[in-house]
Amino acid sequence: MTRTTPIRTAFRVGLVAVLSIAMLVPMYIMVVNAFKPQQEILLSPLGFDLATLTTDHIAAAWQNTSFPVVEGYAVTLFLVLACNVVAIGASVPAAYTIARTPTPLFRFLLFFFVAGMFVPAQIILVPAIFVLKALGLMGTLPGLVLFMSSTMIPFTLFIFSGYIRMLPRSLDEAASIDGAGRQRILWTIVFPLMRPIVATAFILNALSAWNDFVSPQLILGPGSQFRTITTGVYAAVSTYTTNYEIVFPTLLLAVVPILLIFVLMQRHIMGGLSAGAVKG
Amino acid sequence: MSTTFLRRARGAVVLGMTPVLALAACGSEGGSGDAAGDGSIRMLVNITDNLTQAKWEELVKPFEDESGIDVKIEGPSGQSVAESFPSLLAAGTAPDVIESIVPGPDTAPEVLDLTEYDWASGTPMADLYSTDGTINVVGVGMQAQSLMYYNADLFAEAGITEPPTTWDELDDALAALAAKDVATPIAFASDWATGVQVQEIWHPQQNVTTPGWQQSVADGSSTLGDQFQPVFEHVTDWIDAGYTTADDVATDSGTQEANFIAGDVGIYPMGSWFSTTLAASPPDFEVGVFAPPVDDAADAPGPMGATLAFPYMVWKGTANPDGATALVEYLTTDEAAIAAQAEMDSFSREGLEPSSNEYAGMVQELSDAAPSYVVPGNQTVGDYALPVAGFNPKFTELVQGLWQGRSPADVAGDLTAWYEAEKLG
Amino acid sequence: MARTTTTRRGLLSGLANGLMTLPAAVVYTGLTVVPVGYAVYYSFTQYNGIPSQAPTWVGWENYARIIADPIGDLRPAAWVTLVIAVVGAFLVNGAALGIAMLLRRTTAFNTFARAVMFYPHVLSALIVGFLWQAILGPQGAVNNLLENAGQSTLPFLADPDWALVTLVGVIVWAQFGVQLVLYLAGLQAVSPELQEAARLDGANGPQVFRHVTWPALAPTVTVTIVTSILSLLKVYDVVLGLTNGGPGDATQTWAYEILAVSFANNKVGLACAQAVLLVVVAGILSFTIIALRRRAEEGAEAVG
Repeated sequence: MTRTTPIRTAFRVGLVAVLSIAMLVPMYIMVVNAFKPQQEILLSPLGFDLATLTTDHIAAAWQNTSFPVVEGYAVTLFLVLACNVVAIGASVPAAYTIARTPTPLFRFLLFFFVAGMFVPAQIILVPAIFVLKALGLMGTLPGLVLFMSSTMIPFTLFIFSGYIRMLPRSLDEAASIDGAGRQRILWTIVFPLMRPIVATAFILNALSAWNDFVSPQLILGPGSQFRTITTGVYAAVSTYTTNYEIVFPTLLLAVVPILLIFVLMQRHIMGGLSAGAVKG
Repeated sequence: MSTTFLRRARGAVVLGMTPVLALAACGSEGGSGDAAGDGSIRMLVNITDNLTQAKWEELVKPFEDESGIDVKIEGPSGQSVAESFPSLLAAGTAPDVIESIVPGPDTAPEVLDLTEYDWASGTPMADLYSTDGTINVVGVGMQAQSLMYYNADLFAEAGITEPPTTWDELDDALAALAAKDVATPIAFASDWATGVQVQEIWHPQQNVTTPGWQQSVADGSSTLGDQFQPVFEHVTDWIDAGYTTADDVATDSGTQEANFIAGDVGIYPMGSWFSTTLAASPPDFEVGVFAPPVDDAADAPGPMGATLAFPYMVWKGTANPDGATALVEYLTTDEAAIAAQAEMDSFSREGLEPSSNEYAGMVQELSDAAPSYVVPGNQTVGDYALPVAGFNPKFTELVQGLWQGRSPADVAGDLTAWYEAEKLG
Repeated sequence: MARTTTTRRGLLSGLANGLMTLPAAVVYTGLTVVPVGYAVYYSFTQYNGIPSQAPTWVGWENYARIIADPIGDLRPAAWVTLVIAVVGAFLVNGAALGIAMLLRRTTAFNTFARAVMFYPHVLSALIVGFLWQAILGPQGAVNNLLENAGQSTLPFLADPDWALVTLVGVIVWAQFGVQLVLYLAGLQAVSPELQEAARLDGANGPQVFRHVTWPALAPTVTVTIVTSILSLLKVYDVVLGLTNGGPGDATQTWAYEILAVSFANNKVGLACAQAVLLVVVAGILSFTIIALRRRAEEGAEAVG
């Protein structure tokens, strides 16, 4: 590090700048073309003519009944929160018990949960439909939340138990001698210490819930009044993939809010991920 | 001791289960599977540019007013009704009435037998679409599938005076269009369209050679590969000559239709519904329609591939069979309802006023001139069913191989092999 | 007396422990383990998934069908999935590690660049697929630029081989950001003193990387390879948006075969057999990689 010369620094900065621009070009194409008529998108995909820029197509996409933007966002946000509440809420006590009970039974239990990490969620959807149907939860948001949470539990529990194992046992033993109950020790002493790893789990689960398409598509089905962002975009765009007057504005509406959230929360999101990577 | 234990245990369970219980509690309200409990009817329909949600709602409005039954229109959340229906059946949340698909080998036992209703036997094409006399799907009319739309201005420029009637004449016409630098002499499109288009240009000659070819394939006297190899050879010739390119089968049908309207396409094989699209945005050139060619001019025009317009089925598991069948009866027999559907998507039916749409008028003339109607392979139903599921997707996937340089014989061989492996029972 | 109390106490606390794990166990068992069990059962049956029609036991027939592959539709899917998993994992990790080396120091510029590299991951794969379809399709932005410049167009999505390469490229574009974050975190843990010591001993940049940085990153590399392969084996959404499996079957992945071909055609038995095989392959691959990497990781401890 001491030997970095100005030329090498300049080269490095230049390379990173070029790569960053390459990453951003698709965004630029999407934004510019969302405001142009089809003919112009075809003639000059990168340029724009201030005179013919129009918000008509954005307005049309906003009003498209296949993809109700605001409701789509509300449903997706609800999924993100509800899945995290269930997955984290269920994983904390389980991970605590497993980490603090060094018997073969609980070691096996950890293995039992961890095995789930190798089961791709969308692949077991077909049989999961039969289970949800038996429970009467098929086609409902709670059914969807339970299914998505169950696929998050293995990883969440795995990183939680690893983290709790690193917390000094003397902490909860001291509290236990003071007469505190197990639940109280867990939620008032251990849980606050788990903040970094909970943040990591929350972010990872949130990203997977946010981006999930197959689960809401199959579990909610056409009968449901609920659309997530992904199923809404699919309904609005899939039969018109080359009608760019529909594609670009719809995609723009779908990504702008999440990108804003990302820009605002960027430090926390990426920081949370790397915190988990170091400790987990 | 045990009280402490119980307290702790309860605490653990309650805390951990709270979110789960809360979810389960609101589960019953969010459900949609039992919507029929209130007497309403769910109808799954195909939603397109021509068939919008609003038009569907308008269509069932008089029925709702008359019967007091609430009809809920649902569009498929996937690409098509055909894709959504199996998962809905598996989930036990199938809608009461299903529009746009016909019963297949797996789904036939799941739909209501309508034979006993007098009105059902009077619906168009009821005989062609029945199975051993059993009617389980009814429609409002006939839609011609075997149609070649052409740009008459480009034809005139290329010196083509009469639309082709034989395959040789069609090849000559395409050569003339290519010589005039027409961007796409004949346009095919991606996804489902490739398969449908290749089949529909072949219906007339195929049914001249082997009348009732589906039954010949089913009883083993012919194979799927033998049935389609000749058309694969024609298409391969066109690909080799550059009349159609690999880009075509990666371009969706909506874009190819726009290309046709923009004047870049010589011939576009597509079903009668394209006439509605044309009427909505009439091109600034003259459009003509001709029937796909036959080998021998004496056979022209050949049998017309035709499908049931607005096919309706009733799910056997419906909680409201009377309401559902009443809705289907209304949609397929009420004059106002039939007229409204003809506005949404043109079709022909005896006694129905010809459409004011000039393009539909041309289609009507061709349908009237056809010696007979035949069920196309992609709508295998009733006595003309291929005993196999997923024919059109597989056909499309294989036929797209022609554009990637596979030989007609290989594609035909794979088609036969697929049928042999997948046929039921 | 005392002894019974202890036993009772142990039993009770065991029960209490059990109850603590109950919520997680119930949700996970109910909606992951039981469905896997169902999948295994249905994989030995012929079943169209319709509740009123019962499954028929057919033994190993579905698996035989997959292995014999009489109509040659599943082997291409397995091949496509393998290419995506192997080439994709290699490229994702290469891009992530390379860029992590460029961005390892925390400056305002680098923080911005890290966010730019990561952002595709917050867009869902389906949307990424649709977006690139609009950019690389036959009438997409790139081909229109080429056409307007008088060049011939490129068959990004129209030619089978190009389409597969395009698909892998898009996946790498969308996915390497996550691995980048993991590598950046791993690089923070590499001891600066050790690197400095190596430099003072006269090692140049590549030598320092090879002998100090790379071995110290070993645990991170294991995690990133396993996670990227696991996610690449189940690629589906991006295929749906980008190519819908075409042209022909050129980009049909294993997950696409399960969901869009077998399940969509009411072949639940076959779909489940395919799913079971995928889970088995994912498990075997992961454990093999972890086992193979163990030696490298032991080296890491020696270095760290």
